[in-house]
Amino acid sequence: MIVRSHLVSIFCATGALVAVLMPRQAAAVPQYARRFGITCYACHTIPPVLNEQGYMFQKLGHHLPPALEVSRPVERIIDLVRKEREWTIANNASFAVSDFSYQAQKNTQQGQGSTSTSAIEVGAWNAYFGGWLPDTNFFYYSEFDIVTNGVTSPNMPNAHIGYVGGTARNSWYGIVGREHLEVSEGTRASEVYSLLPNSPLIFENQGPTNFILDQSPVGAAVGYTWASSMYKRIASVNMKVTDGDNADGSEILGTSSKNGKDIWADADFWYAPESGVSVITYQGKKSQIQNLGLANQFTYNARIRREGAFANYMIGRDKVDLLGGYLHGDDDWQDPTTQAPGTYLTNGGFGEADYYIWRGLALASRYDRLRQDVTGGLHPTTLEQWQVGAEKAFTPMGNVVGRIAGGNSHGVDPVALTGSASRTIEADIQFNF
Amino acid sequence: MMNQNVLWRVLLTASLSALLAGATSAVAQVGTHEDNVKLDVGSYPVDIQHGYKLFASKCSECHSLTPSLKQSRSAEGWAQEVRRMQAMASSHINDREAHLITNFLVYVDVHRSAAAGDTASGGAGGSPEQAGKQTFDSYGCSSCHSVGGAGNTSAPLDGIGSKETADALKKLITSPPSESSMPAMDVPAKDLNNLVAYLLSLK
Repeated sequence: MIVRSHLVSIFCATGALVAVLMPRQAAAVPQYARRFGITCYACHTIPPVLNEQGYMFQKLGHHLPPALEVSRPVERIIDLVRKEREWTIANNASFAVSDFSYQAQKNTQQGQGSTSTSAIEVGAWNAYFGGWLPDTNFFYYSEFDIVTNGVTSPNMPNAHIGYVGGTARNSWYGIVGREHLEVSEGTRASEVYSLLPNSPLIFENQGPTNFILDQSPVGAAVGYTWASSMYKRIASVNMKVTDGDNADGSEILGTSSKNGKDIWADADFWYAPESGVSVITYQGKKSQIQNLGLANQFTYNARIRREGAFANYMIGRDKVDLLGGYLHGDDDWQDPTTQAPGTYLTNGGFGEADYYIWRGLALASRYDRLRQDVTGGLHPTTLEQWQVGAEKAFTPMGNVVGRIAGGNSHGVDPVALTGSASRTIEADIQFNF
Repeated sequence: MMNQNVLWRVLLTASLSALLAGATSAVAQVGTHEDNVKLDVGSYPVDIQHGYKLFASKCSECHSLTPSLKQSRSAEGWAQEVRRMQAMASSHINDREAHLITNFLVYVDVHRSAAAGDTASGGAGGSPEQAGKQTFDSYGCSSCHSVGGAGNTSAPLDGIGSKETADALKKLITSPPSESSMPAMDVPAKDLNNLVAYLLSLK
């Protein structure tokens, strides 16, 4: 009985940890397509990657951006609200956003033999609720994850309410609640979600502090967005401040009774059709318990900083998208053995080329490189990763998407200085209803 | 025993091939995407065919093509509508493409009306109310309104015939109040008269 109880606890704890630490599975929100009677491609290149319209949809509080003609007066947000259809459960909820996946992986670690794993599983099953309070500028959004990365672990990574004001050309918003840390998700290159199953390494990197940008703490966010006529130029600035149990380091190494604070800011600029630049900065301070559960555990408040720049350029008419980004990290670091204070420095970058053969079909390839340097480590180490893949939507609507990708990563742990390599092949099919 | 590296490559290649093979069949369907609207595109002038290709590729990114092809507008009305679409985010339609798409839509509209004997405008064999019902359907009014529970029930039109006069209805259709979310409809006079006749019959 006790053993069973322990197993259940371990299962739940593992599930929660995986849900919190692992990058979010990307998912489209098909109720919006239903609500407006449009296809997924109206807001996505191939779901879940957003295009300019999808970006503006987010900025306008989940209202479809209207035509911005020079000859017509600019619509106010309340005008968009008045055009909204009647609230129904069908156009405000999606219950069957699921992902069936197959993954095979071969890992090799220095000094040990190689291991191979493979699994076919329900990778994700999520439910979404998103909409507007009738006849007001208030909007809400929540994501309830039932299965994440193959593990049944009910979790609500997003649950917030917001208010959007101004006009379609000059809009502002305020949001409170639990929300993705990267508030705006930026222009194309700075989106956590890509055409490939995995995000760029610099977003997913879990270094010595195990901090990743892909989190959803509780806080408040504000932003302002400007768009020129016909959306030829779009500029936006966004900021988010968090403070609370979900920002106290529990998403880093384990539970903590202390709070932490995060400040996130980004500036985005779309300067050409589907091409843009994002500059981001993140400053945080986390209460962490190192080596949780061990005799030599200790607590300290690590300062975590990230600064980065991202850009993409679309060549031709939605044909070839070149993307790249650089992210610098400067974190406090405490040696787990000697407890000596130090720093964990990272310089990461990625380059990606996506070729949209035609609507709903694309090939993607990406190279990631992460340089890590930890006080106490003998020398800086490098982690490299490449991925190639293909994505295809199987319905004219674009709500059933298949992906296949293969990749290789290899590098050296900056603390243990042991080398490791892995080869992965992933295939999945996403259903968004 | 097969080398594991070879096995990985075979798996990846086979999966990519399967995706691409599926894509090929999807492309073949693009040309026949018009649901229940039949278009003999091969018989159109070259410029109009070009306009059709642009219409099929650009406009279908966001919405189904059939409702657009069922609508009827004046040439200026179509030009205005395409300009409006051009000003949407991610439409990426340049002026030349907008011109070609407009020409295609006007061409199809004119030829469809001619082929239908102009029945939608109250031609031989149909009462104004019947023609008005067809106009109501062809303009997609049911996307915002309902009649007898059919359509968008947020704005029902049942009983409107006993509440409004013909002149008031015409004004509501062509120049609705600014606080209304209804767009001003550019409707030819014949269609407008038939539409009003239909609405007045809803008592």
